[in-house]
Amino acid sequence: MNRHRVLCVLSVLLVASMILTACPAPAPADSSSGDGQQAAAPSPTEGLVNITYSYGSRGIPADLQKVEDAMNEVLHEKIGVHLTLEPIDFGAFNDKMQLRLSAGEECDIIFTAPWINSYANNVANGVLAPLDDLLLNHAPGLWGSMPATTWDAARVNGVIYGVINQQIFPKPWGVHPRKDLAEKYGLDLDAVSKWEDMEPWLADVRDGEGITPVFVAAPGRGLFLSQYYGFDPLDDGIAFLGMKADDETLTAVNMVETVEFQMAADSTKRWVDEGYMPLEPLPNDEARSAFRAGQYAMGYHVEKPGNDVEAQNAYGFEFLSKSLTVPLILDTAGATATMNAICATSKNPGKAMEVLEEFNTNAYIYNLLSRGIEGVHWVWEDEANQVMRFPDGVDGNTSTYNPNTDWMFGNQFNAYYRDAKQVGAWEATKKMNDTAFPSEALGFVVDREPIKTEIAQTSAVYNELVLPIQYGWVAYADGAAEAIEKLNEAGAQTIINEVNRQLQEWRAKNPR
Amino acid sequence: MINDKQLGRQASTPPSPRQAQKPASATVRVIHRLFGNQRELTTNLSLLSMSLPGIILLFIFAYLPMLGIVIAFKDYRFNLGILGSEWVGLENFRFLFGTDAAFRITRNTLLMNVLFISTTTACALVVAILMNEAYRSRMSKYYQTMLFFPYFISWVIVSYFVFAFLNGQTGLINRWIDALELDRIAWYRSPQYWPAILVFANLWNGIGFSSIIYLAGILGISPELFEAAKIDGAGKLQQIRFITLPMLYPMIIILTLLAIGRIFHADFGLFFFLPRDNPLLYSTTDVIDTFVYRSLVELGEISMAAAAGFYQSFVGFLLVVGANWVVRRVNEDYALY
Repeated sequence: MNRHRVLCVLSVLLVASMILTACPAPAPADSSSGDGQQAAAPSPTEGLVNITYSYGSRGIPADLQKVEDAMNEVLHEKIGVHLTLEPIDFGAFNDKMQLRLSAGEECDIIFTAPWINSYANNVANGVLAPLDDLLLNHAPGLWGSMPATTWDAARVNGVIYGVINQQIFPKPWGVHPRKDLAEKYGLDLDAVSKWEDMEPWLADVRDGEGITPVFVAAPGRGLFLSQYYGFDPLDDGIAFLGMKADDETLTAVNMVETVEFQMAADSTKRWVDEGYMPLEPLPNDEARSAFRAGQYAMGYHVEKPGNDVEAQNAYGFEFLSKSLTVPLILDTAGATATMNAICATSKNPGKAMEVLEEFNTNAYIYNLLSRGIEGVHWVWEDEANQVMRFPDGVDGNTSTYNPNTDWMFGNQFNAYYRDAKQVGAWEATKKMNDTAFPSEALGFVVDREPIKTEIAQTSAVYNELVLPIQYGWVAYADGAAEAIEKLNEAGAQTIINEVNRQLQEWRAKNPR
Repeated sequence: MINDKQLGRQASTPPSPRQAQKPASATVRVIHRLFGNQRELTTNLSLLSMSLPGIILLFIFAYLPMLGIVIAFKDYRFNLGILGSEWVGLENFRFLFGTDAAFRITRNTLLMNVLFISTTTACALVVAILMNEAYRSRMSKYYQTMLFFPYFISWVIVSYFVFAFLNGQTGLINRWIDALELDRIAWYRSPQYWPAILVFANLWNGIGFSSIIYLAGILGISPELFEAAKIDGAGKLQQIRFITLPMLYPMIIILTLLAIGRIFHADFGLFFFLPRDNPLLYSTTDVIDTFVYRSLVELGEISMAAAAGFYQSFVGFLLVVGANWVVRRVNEDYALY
């Protein structure tokens, strides 16, 4: 046992030496709030269960301690828990969490997702606690807040390891053009039903304003967005893999070979050639400031209800917004996009689940965590409609508590609106979730273990040969044949065969 | 003469690691040097104890983690631990060699590092000799600092400098090209230019550091040699050719041997950030480190990353041993051990 410990420490040292440069030195200012353990454990915590919550954050909010205290005022009384908030800067979140989990360090609640602190990896590594019983016994409200089909999306081999945060599940890919330019150049958004319908307007804006109208940040971005073209991507880590969401035979394909991919690639190439999209996109920050400065006329993204307001907050112009994705598809990755999970090392998984129940069903606690304290960090604009705003003289950048990551903490539909124009957005979003077309493979998660070598190989090939086609730098006709051949050499077919086998096996256990 | 004497005094102050002053010491084998005899141990006790913290750190950070090599041969799972994870043999190495990218990344890594080593050594020597000639100048500290400064700038920041020069729309160089009424060059989609750009960036970054090491070596050369040569009528160039360079050979060779040991490790920051991870440039800028990063970033597979690291270190080790063997065949005095 002792030797085992030593080896653990050694492995941490090994990993630490590799990624040390990625971890910023702890800022002294944060120590009072960030490392809450000693600082935040005064006498009233006796008899309480300590639960920590580790999550990603854009910097560490100055008033973290105040918010934590306000939350604990309720939590002490209600469930006998002393909660310690442990925000970790996004830049370091993935590395730090993976390091802590790999070292077997004790933790209670952690944020996990397909795209950061990987849910699939964490489940494969056995660091997450199974939640089915905990949900039933400790969080009936949370369990009842979502239909069983949604919970199924979080199941791996039949077991739930993560609590899904309710927010927008499907991906309504669409466009958000600037309102002023849409009016100036006569864009009739109602008549637009696909990317290509935007082209006449894009040409007018390009000529009239002398700008590259479509906002794209480095390295590049194309029009091929799987759900828009009816695909369920099955696994974010296997970029070429997809399945037609309505395919009852559950047959995964190489999306690069499909006619949809070709259509998207051709359109993207045309947009780049015509100067609708930048050929050499600026790095993200610069591209965003260029958007704010009016250098772009349109973005295309997940056009969820209220996205026009979010875009306005981000770029300062008024926007229109329309989803062009028909039908909306509910797939596993979308439903599990943001989750909170409980560590296998947690000493009090039951209490941790009770905390998650509060995060998801107690609007007061949820808004404390995601928005801060009323009267300090925000004030009511219109309490009847649950619209809040920043106090006078404060904005999103100067606020002392503004995580701006509602989707990370719990059920977003409990959040107060930030803008009167957003009122009703949550109902609309929930409706989108409920009416979205469930993918035939909803709930299926790829087991990467038998094919990880092939995933590594194809992922390098994909980045090298497929991305230039996807970004419109290389014509599909010129590059696709080679890309597909190289993908297959790297094991694409092996992956597809294995995933298809897993799909059939999964279907046998989960009949329609 | 007086100046040369002053120079000699100054020269004795900077610690010069291995010099030609005591050619005999260079021939002593490493083992002998490490342990020495009883008398050496007592005389050097204070020096040895001063190096102890360094040795301990080296042991902790360079030797202990070597046990982690086993991860490369296991299917490492966090909850099972290093010992508990399953042995999988060479399975983890498969992704490195499974595609024809293997040849390209190995070639790029080797060629670029050979270019880096040769250009840095040559240029650093020239700069060191020039700085030595200007050593008495009031400006010498200024020159050194100016040359050294880029060494401290992160590649991420350098990548923005490079982008400002090279980008297609507003890049400085393309504006100059416009001014000369020539055709613009799309740098970020023309892989053929990138070896030169990377060599230049690496030189800009590393030359200050390397030249200071060589300068220390030059300052360690006994001034009497130069004086004698001067009396015999040797000019500056002859002094450089017949005294400075031969006296620096052991140092050049040792530094080159050490660099060869890292020849399979590409500078990730340089190769990842400067070409901005641009797929169109992979043919000349993709090296083992960036390839491994790109292959595994989605997968997060520690075992496969460990396998790649082990492969790089293993080949690097063989190359050092081989290069040292060659050097020994040529001239035993210059060999590392």
